Amino acid sequence: MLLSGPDDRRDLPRGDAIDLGGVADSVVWRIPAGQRLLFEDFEDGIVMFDARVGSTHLLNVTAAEALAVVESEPGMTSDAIRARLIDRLSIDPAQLPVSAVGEMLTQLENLGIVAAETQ
Amino acid sequence: MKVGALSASGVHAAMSSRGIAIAAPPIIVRLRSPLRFLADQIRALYGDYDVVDPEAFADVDVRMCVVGGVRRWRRPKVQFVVDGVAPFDPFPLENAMPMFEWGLNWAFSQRANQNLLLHASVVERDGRAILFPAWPGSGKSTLAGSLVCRGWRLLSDEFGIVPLGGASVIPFVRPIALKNESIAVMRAFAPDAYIGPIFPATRKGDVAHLRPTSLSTARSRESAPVHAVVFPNFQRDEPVSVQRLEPAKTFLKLAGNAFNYEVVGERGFSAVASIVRQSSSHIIHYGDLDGAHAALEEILRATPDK
Repeated sequence: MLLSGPDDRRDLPRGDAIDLGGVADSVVWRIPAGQRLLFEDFEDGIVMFDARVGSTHLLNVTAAEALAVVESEPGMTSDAIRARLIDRLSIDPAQLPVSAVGEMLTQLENLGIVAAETQ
Repeated sequence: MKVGALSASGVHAAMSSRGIAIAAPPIIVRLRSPLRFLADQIRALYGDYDVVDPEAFADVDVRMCVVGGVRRWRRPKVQFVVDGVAPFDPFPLENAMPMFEWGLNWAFSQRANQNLLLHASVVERDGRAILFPAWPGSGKSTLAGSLVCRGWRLLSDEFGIVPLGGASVIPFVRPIALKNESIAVMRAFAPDAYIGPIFPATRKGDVAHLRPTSLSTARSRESAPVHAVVFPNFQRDEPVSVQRLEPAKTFLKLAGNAFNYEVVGERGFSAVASIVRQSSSHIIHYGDLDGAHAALEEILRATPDK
């Protein structure tokens, strides 16, 4: 679950196949320059503050962990991020389809929280 | 000296000349107006407030001026002027008191960005504050007013004022604006409480003001930590029910409720986080005040100090 604002709840897609057209491997992810993210971890979700634009979002654990991965290891592909997430969250790979990671990163990109770069 | 220690003529004389400066912590407001009836209403509602030197610095300087152009004598109006600027269209003259109250709220909200300003009523007892964040029509003022009439201390009817960097609420004790049916409800619930005249058919419906208790004004410089956040929801004849609200959802509701969350930025985020972490959060549906009071007592009993 990822919220773009206090009253704007949207569920992340859960595994529907997306044809990434071979683009995924050439796209890497990073946190935009000047971006600063603050996190507050609560029992029902992680609230994140985007200090660059002053917006607040509610993230699930996967999205928050993905941000942590992108922040600590910029320049990773979505496949590599997915592998990190599976490892960090100790989950079965089948629980985190490639397409779900791609869509999650795209949602975060649309919110200006991460940026994609083509290699 | 208290406002109420002045005679009615004395309040009017002051307002008509240099102005009357009233300490309503955290601000001092200086009010000038030739309106005798407004002076009487100010004296009745602000009787327990301290009068300070009108020549000293005032955070908010207000004039309530009679206007109306060529129709002034048929349909006189009153203009709220703050620091020389008239930010609103004039009101009918008889609504000077509610216009003063709303105008003062607006002026405060424009210049208190050293705080996170939640749209909330706040009451306190035994060092534990309950924050009632809500939008108009939810019954927050009625609920807060009823608690104050039962011995709770009022911190504010309109603003939950959280200094940035803190997690306590500071008071801004003012008359409680009761609207529409809540006026009769409060008269029946607390027949000894002072409720001023009804101003009919204002932009917010019928409005009357409940005078803050002496306890509240006497302790108007004492902040209090937020112990519980309760979102009130009044529905006539509805039985009382309380639903716990999870912290992250509370966070988003509080952030969305604040007047200036986007203005204060990161420090507002931290202030909301502090409140959420130190309090329990609930939604209360209620149809009668006694039932709501009992539910709030239970919330306080069940919430440990953090």
